[in-house]
Amino acid sequence: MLEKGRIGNFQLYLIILFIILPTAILSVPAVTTGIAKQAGWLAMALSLGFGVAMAVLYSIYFIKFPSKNLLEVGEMAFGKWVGRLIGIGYIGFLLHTGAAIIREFGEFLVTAVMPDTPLSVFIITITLLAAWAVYNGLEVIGRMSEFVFPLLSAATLIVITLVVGEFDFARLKPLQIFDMKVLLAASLIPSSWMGEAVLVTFIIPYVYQARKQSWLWVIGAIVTVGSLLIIITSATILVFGYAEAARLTFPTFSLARIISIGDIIERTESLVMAVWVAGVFVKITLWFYILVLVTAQTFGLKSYKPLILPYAFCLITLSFWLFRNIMGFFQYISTTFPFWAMSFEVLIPIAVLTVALVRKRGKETSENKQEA
Amino acid sequence: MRRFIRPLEIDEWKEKRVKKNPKSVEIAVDLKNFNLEQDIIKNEKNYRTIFRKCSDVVIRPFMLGKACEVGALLLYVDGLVDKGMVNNFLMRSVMLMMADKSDMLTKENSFKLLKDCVINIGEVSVVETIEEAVDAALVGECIFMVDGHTEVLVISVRGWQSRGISEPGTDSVVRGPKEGFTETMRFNTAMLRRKIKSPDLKIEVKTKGKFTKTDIAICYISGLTNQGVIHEVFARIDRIDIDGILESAYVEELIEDEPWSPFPQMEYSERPDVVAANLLEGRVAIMVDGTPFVLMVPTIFAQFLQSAEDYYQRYYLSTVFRIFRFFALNIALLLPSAYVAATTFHQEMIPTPLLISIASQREGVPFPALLEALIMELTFELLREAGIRLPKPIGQAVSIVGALVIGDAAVAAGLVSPAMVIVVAITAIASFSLPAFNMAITLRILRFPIILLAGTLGFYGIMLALLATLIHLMGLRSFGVPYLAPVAPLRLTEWRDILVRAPWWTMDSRPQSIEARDQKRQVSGLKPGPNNDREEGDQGDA
Repeated sequence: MLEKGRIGNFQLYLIILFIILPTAILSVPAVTTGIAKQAGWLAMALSLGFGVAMAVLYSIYFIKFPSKNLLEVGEMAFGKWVGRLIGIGYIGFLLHTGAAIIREFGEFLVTAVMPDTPLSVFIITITLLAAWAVYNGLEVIGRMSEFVFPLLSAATLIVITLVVGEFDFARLKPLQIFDMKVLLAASLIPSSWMGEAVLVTFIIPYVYQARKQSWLWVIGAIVTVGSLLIIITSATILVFGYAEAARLTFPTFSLARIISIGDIIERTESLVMAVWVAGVFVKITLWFYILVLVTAQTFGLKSYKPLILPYAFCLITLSFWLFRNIMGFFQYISTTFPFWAMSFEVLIPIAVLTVALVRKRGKETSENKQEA
Repeated sequence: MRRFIRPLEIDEWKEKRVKKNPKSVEIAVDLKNFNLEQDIIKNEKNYRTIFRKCSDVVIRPFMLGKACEVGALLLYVDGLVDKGMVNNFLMRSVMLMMADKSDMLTKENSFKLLKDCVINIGEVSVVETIEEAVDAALVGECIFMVDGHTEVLVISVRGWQSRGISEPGTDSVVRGPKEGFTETMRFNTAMLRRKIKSPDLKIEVKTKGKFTKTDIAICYISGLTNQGVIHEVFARIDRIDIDGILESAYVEELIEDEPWSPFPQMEYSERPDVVAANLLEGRVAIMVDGTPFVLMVPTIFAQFLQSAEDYYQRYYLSTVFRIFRFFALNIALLLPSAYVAATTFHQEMIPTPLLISIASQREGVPFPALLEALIMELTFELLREAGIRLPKPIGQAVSIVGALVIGDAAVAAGLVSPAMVIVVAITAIASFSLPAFNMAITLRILRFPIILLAGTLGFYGIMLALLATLIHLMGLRSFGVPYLAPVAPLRLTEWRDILVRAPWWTMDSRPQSIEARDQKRQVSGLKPGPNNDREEGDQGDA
């Protein structure tokens, strides 16, 4: 096996959280609110439904093929060559999205925190650091997520608690509940984010405890992510109003900015930024890790470690090339990304799963016949 | 025509010199060239060759029997043996008591007679090779040979000057045992045995070091300590092949998991109670002769924040102080860099009145905050170093100079701002409040790169440094146990003895991370209270 490390179910849960949440917290509320207006939180709730549906899809992998990852199931279903083609497809998806995440991270720091520092500083440092973490393997990444999770959740909860005083529920009115088309369109973006959980189907064999129960953790993670996103989106709308929340590039970060307690704790956004950097770091590491893992598996390499440095440079370069500026990035995540991502998050997994299940059943029945 | 003489190569020159005067070259003694002989005269000659120019080795030939017909030989290292014992018991018994039995003495039975009937000393053994005999003499035994026999009698008369048991210099406590280990390993094992009076406490000894022949004792409690850890410790110690071991640090560096890590991967202590407690949790202790510092493996990070006294004071107090120490750890690592980052990049975080006062203080300071911090930290480190190395009276003078120079003159001269002095002072206090010196040093070293990153990238830089440190720590293992356990990987049941110190009656099981074979520490339900078993008539005045 490519990876010798093992993770527990709780680590799996946290890994799903970190695959989705760190960037979702930041940019999704604004984009969704931009489309759904006051009903942004409702769109989020809708996307939670989609997310759970996708989580069920991935859970079936955990239940039916507990010792195989998505690529191996693909090879089982379609044969070696088509399986590899699927692998190459995922490499493209992971590389592209990984670079986009890195770019988003860099753009956020440049726009919101340190406008005088060049973008390249952030992109290069975080990618090389992530490369090192990937080099240390899945176990270290799992432990990283365990360590960063309390910090990230504490920061998020503290920020939300401290802005409760600014809530104005009149800002939710009027509710355009019945415009389902808009709601669906708006929920598509957060849904594509939740579908990023597809990445865990590549690490199924490395869960060491009760893989058959892992699906509970997968669904639990998606529900956690969805609820957090609903809370944060509601908070941004309640504090800023939908127009302002959509106009702000990073409304969650702006929530931290308005905190003020007794003139002593003020403008804590730098601290929130620092914690959030840790969160995104884990996210980048996970994407990077699964990218090298999928590549090594597709091409049948013995180890994924030689791929890390070349991929680090690919990711750095690609993250510069992909978008002209931050507006280009937002354009991409609100128009192209949902469809591009959904094909890898929904279409391919469904296709692979259906064919694999049919074949498995066929095999079992033929075996039964032989026995009879 | 002039002739040029080619200068000699070093090897040629050496060869020439040896040829000229063969005696001038000392050759190391190879014990394989010597054998134990029956003839006592030959033996004496051999020993004199082996211990040539060793002024501390005493070789004493003498004669036994009625007519002084049996030759004998006594050899010991002066200073390592108890001379009173040698003179009053050994020589006396051999010379006087032998006279009673001189009728029975023949050349053939002399050895057996001496060993079994004459020598009145408790610990006696027989060795049959010259290597063993020489080794025995060098660790402080007396070796005894009789004419006509190739066996050597090794008589234990060890006794050398050593430091008495005193209160340990490190790890001092207000409440708790005041004895500390000493340099002599036997005393140390005795102190340990006095704490754990069980035959399950095993103390196995390995001798390492080509010249120093240092004893390394591996102590564990059989049936409790994880077998894998014991095997691993033995395997790693067996690998050691070095000329000398002078301190347990040698062993530590030769057996640790990640040699390039700046973090200490083994806890050490010079307190018998700490070592006993660690053994009872399922760890292995490694004692090295010649040093009071005993290593304990496997080690987790949290141990460096704990002090022996935590278990001797009330648990509320211990818990509070453990939390304080945790903050001290963060302050020692991060305060100067946080100050630099906040004043350089994130001024909006500082409350306005404070910001104004800091800015006015910094008005006359010519350096950026980064440089100011580095200068102050460096000065402080130098002062601390000077204070430790100098003799005590001068050391105090240095600290006075330091206090005046740093605290007053540098500020008055406008070189540094008063706020920076406070920051450096608090950092120093925090780093001194950590119980483990080796961890405090590591934090002090890591502080400098973090200050640099904070001065260039602000909080983002600090976060980068922290993440890098975390990745390193997450990957670290000490004898198979993850260094950051039980935080990552998460084991909540163990948290009762990490940042909090739960009362003893709640800690029914040993720490899981150590993977002791016997997880149960005590019967559950030990929570004390008024005794309910008493008969009703005993209660109350009625």
